[in-house]
Amino acid sequence: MSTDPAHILPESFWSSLSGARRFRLNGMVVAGSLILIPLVLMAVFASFLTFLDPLSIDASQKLLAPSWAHPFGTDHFGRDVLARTMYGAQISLRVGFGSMLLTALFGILFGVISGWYNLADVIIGRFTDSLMIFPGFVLAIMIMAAIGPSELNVIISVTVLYIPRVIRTVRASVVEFRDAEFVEAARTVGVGDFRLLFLHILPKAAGPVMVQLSFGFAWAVLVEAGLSFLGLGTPPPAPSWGSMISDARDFIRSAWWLITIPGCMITLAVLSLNLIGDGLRDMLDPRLQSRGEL
Amino acid sequence: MLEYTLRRVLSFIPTILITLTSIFFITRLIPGSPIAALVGHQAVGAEQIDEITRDLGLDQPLLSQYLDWLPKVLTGDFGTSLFYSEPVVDVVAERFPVTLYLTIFSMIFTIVIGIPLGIYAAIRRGRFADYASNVVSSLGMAMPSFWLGFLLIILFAVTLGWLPASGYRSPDFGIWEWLRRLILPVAAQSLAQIGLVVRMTRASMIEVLGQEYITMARAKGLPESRVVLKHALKNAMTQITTVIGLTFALGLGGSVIIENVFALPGLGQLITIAAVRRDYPMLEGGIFYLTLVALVVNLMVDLGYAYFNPRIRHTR
Amino acid sequence: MIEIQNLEVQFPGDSGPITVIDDLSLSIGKGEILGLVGESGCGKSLLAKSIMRLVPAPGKITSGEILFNGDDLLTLDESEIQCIRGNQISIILQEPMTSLNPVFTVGNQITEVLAIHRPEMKKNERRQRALDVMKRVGIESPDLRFDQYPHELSGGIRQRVLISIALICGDVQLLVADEPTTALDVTIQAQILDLFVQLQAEHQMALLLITHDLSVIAQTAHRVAVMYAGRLVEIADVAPLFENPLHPYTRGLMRSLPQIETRPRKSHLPTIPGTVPNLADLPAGCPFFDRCEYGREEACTSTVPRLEEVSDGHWVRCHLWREIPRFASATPTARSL
Repeated sequence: MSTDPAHILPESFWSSLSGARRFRLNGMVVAGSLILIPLVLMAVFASFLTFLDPLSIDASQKLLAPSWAHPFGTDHFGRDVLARTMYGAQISLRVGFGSMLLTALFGILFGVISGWYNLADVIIGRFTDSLMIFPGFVLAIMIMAAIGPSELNVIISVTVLYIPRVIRTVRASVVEFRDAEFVEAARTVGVGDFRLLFLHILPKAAGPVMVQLSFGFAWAVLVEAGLSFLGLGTPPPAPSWGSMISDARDFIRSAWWLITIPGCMITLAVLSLNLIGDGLRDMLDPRLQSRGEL
Repeated sequence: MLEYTLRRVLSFIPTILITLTSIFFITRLIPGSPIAALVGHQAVGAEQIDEITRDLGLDQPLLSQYLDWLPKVLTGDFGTSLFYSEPVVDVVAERFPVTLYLTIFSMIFTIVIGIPLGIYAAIRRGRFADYASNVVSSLGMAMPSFWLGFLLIILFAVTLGWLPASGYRSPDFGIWEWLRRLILPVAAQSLAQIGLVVRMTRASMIEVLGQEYITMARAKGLPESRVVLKHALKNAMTQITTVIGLTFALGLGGSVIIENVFALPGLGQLITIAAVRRDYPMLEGGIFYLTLVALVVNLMVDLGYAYFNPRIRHTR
Repeated sequence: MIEIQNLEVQFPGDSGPITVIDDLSLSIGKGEILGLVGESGCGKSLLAKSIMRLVPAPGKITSGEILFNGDDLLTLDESEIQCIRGNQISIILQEPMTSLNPVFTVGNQITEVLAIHRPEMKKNERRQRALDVMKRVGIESPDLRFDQYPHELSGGIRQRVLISIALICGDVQLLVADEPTTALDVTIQAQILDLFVQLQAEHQMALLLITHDLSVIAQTAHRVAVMYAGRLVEIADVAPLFENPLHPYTRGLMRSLPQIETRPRKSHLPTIPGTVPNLADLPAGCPFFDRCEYGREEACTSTVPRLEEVSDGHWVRCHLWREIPRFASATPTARSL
C-alpha cells in the first residue's frame, strides 16, 4: 500500500518540518563561547595583561578600593585583586580542563571495557555504583581529606566524582552497538575489534560525552571553588577564586570588591560552560531540550 | 506496592554495606596513612602516635582492619574522635538536627517555589515568563551557593540588619530565635537548587504536555487547570520526584559549605573540620550519617516514584 | 449540523508560516457518516483536532469558521468550547496506546467526563453508567477493567475504552474518529465499525471517520472526502466515488487497494509513485503534479486548481478532470466489499 500505515502524529510531523534547524550552530553555544573565550584569553595571557604579581604582599597597599592603579582593588595583604583574579582563572580552567581530560580518557577506557567484556562490567559497575551513592561534594571532601589539599589532588577528586557518569554513557552506547547488525557485518569481513570501536562505535558516543564533559567542566569549577573555600582545595597563597572568597569573608563589611569579584568570575565561568553544554545537547537532540540532567 | 516496598527496603542493606566499605577504603587505601598526615599537620608526640595507631588498628593489615572495623560501625560505633575525644556517634547526634533542619527546610522551600515555577514556565513556553525563568534559573545554577550566602549576609544582615549574619540557636531558645538564624542559610541553599528544579520540572512538563493523552484530556472538555494539574502533573511527578531526590542529595553536599558560611554547627561543618584536621573516625562517621540521610531520602523517592507510576508498582 | 468553512491552519516555519490545512470546507449532516481519506501527513488528523480546537502548539487556526448547530466553534469562549468537548462533540484519537493517561485507572478516565459534564450525577451512578457503556462497546467484565491501568490492557480494549470515553455522555452529536480501527486486528475492526454504524443509526449521530483505508470507507461511510497536502481534492457520495473517481490521486489510492476477488495475487500492488510533498515548499501549481500520471506541465504547474462541482455533490480539485479517461480498473466497489 502506498498509504503509509505508520501514523505520523502532528507533533512529529511538525518536527520533521523543522528538522533542519538542529544542524545550525546553537545560540546558547555562541552565547556561552562569547563569555568563555575572554575568560580563557585572560587566563592564558595573564602575565601579559598585568605586570603585578598575584602573590606579592605589600602592607602599605592593603584593602584599597578599586582605582586606576588597582581596577579591582587590593586585598588584606595588599595583593592586586585583578592580578589574582586573572591567575585564579588559570587555576579554575586548569582544574576543569585537567579533570575533564582525565575523565574523558579513563571514562571512555573503562566505559568501553565495561561495555565489551561482561566480567569487567560487573566490577566496573560496582565501582561506579558505590561512588554514586555519596552526595557529590561529600565524596570530594572525603577524597581531599585522604590525599591532602593540592591543585593536582583537586583534579583527581573531581575526576573520581565525575567519571561514573561518563563510564555509564560510553558503556550504554557500546552495549547498544556491540550487537548491532553493522557491527556483526563488519566483523564477518574481518574488521578488528579495536578498529570497530574507534571508527564505528565511539564516534556515536562522542556527542553525549561532549555534552557531559562541558557540564562536568562547569561542575569542576564549582567544586574547586568550594573545596578551596573550605581550605581543602588549592592551598594558599595560590589565588584560587574559592580561597579569595574565603579570605574576603572577614571584610564583607568594609571591602565589597573582595567578595563580589571572584564570585562573579565563578558565576560567569559556570554559566558559560552550562550554556555550551545545553546548546550542544539541543544540537544533538532538539527533543531533549533543557532537560538539565546534572 | 507492598511487595515493591519490601523489596526496595531489603535492597537497602547491601547499599549500607557498600557505603561503609567505600568509606573505609577511600579514607585508608590511599597512600599516606592518616597518621603520617596527622604528624605532618600537628605537633604529635611519638607516644600519642603509637596510641592512635593502636586505637585505629593501623598496625594491622588492611583487610583485618576492615573486618575489625565493619562489625563495630554496623552497631554504630565509629570510635572516638581524635579531636573532640568523645565518641563519634555522640558528636554526630548533637550536630545532626542542625543539618536536618537546614536540608529539610531548603528542600521544602525549593519544591514550593521550584515546581510551580517550572510548571508555569512550561505552560508559558516560549513567552517572556519562560525566558525570564530560564535566565534566573541558569544564573542560580551557576552561582556558587557559598558566595550567594555572603551576598545575602551583606544585604540582609549587614546593610538592612534584619537577620543575624551567622550562628545557631536550638529551638529551646524559642521558635523565632531558632528560625531567624535559619532563614538566610535556607535561602542561600534553596536559591542554588531552585534553578535545577525549575528546569527539570519545566522539561518534564513540556514533554508530558505534548503527549496524546493530554490532547485527549482536553478533548473530554476538562478545564485547562485540571488538564495541567491532574493529568500532566501526575505524570510529570514521576520525573519530578527523581529531581527532588537529586536535589536533596545535592543539598546535603551543599549544606557542608552553607554550614561553614553561616557558622551552623551541623554535620557538614563537622565533616569539614574533621577533613581539615584529619580526624578520621569523625570523618568516617560524619560522612556515613550524612550519606545515610541521602540514602533514606533516595528510598523514599523511589517509593514515591512507584506511587506515581502504576507500571512500576505492578510489574517490578 | 457541522459546517467547516475555509478553514486554514498554519504552523510557524523557518521562512514564514507553513499552511498545513488550506481553504478547507466540509459539512456533515445529522446522522451522516463522512469518510475522510488521505496519506499520513496530509492533515487529516489535524483537521480532526481543529474541529475541537485542539491544534497542537505552535500550530494555529488562522482563518475560517466551524459552525456547529449554527455557532462558530472558533469564536466561543474557552469555557463554552469545554462544554461542547466530550459532550456534544467527541473525538477518538488515533493512538490507543498513547491516548490514555498511564497513571490513572480506566474507570477514572471514563467517569471523569461525567464529573465535568454531568456534575449532578452521584459517584456510583457515574460508575454504573461507565460500566454500562463499557459493556455496550464490547468490553468484557467491565467491573474488572474499571479499576485497571491502561498498561494492563490490550490495544483492542484500550481502543474500546477510548470509545467509551467518547460516548459516555450519551448525547454526542458528532463523533470524530481518527483511525479508530488501525491498531486493531481485522475481526475487532469489523466489530467496532459495526458498533459505529449502530450507534450512528440509534442516535442520529454524525460521524467523521478518518482513515487511510479505503475499504473501511467503502464499508461504512455515506460520503467520502479525499485530502491531499492539506487540501480537499475530491468529495462525493460513496457509490459515485468508487465507480468514477475523478482525481488522479483518488485513483491512485484505489489502485493501491488489495484486490480481493478476481485476479490471482500480483507480485506487488501498484503504488502511487513519489511521496507527500513538503508543505513548507509547495510548488506553485497543483501539489500532486509531481506524482500525477496525467499531469501536463503547461496546464498544471501555474495555478492551484480550484474545487469544482462535477455533478451533483461530486467535487474535484483538478485542472484536467475533463480529459482524464474514465476509471477502468476493476476496483472494489461498495458492493463488492
